[in-house]
Amino acid sequence: MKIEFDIEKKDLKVLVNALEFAASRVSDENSFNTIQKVINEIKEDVKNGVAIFTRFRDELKKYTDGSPILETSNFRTQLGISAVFIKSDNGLIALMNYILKSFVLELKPNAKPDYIKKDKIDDTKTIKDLVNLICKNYESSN
Amino acid sequence: MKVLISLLLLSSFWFTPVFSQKWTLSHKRDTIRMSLNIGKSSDNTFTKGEGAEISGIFPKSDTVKKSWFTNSFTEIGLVSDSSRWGFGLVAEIHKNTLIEKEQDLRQYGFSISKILAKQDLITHASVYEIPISLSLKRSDDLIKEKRTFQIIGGVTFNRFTGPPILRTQTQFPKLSSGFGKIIGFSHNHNIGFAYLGADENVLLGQFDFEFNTYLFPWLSDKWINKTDLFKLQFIYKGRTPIFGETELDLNNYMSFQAGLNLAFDKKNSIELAYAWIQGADPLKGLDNQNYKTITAKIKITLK
Repeated sequence: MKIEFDIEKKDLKVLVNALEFAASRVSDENSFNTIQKVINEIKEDVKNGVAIFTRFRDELKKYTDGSPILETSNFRTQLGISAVFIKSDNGLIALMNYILKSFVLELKPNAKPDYIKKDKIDDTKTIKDLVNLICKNYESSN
Repeated sequence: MKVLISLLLLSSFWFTPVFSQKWTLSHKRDTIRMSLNIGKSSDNTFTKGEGAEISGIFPKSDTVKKSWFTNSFTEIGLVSDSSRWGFGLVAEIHKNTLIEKEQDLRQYGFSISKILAKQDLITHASVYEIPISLSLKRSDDLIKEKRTFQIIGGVTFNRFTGPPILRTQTQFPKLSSGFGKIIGFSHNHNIGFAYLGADENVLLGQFDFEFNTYLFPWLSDKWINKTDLFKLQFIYKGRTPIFGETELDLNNYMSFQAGLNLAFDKKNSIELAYAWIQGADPLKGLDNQNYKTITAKIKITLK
């Protein structure tokens, strides 16, 4: 069974603490391992999101001419990125797929990257949206 | 004519392999998609990016005739994602019965395009791109009762890195800067040629330039997530004969437009603009004159 839900960063710490507390209280080894597995997966997701954002920001820097790139930045209007680059088949989408491919090769060596389709960018606004898109396709790469 | 076509074919075969082998590093399987474009004119990437213009007056009278104005094209084509080729069938109408020297032109033909790209060696994302376009059209002028065969070629240089002022279709100063919140600018261009055959025999060198000013981009971004709600636009189309002679007006075309640019979504938009137009466009049957108009400009792209 696969369960997916959205959670804010500030609430994530509460969730992890609660799970760790629960893990420390269970007496059954199987239950402990199950909760620990959930905790590790959450931590890995966070780690990947942060690492992906950092890498993406570094690679995008030359297309913004030094504008500070924040998670909340509107990449269409605030960073000075060319509108042609955003629309191009070899532009922003190529950069995102490169980041995705390099993370899949590094962390899931036997998996095939589930490349992001260009039309998915149409529904996005901020850098965080783009990072989430990369993370989502990283998760679905098997 | 035959010499010209031979030269065009030779030049395209010579340029394409050199650029594509040296500059294009494809790392994924090519995908071919169908596309539908509606815009101002299929001449080149510059005019394809402008919205189809339409306006009309339909009086309830038997003595006063209906008048209307449109500059529009429809293109149905195929585009490839990785190799960046595009082929399309086009139909165009350029009609204006609201002015002193009326214009009524119908065009049919096909267009070919190729985007050359200099890619980053590691990420494969483009550092700059050079879209090249070629269109071949039959053009029927219903006012002058003339038929011409047009071959139009054009090239644009789209730079993605470096200062925004040197990049096409990029707003400067940035919205994040103080001044950029109040006013923004962007530009675009196209350089090329146009050959008019059949009833004419002339080769023209062409230069198209567009300069946009966006007022209060910060406010526009807050309201519609785009910075170009309040838009002023200046367009210049210059041309000069390279060989041959023509009786067509070759005066430079200039237009200044002020309007509201409303977006349906990220690719499609409608713009309501007041336009001041001066000059001629021999490729569109427009004689040299000066007029003002209010027009709706519609841009639709489906892929």
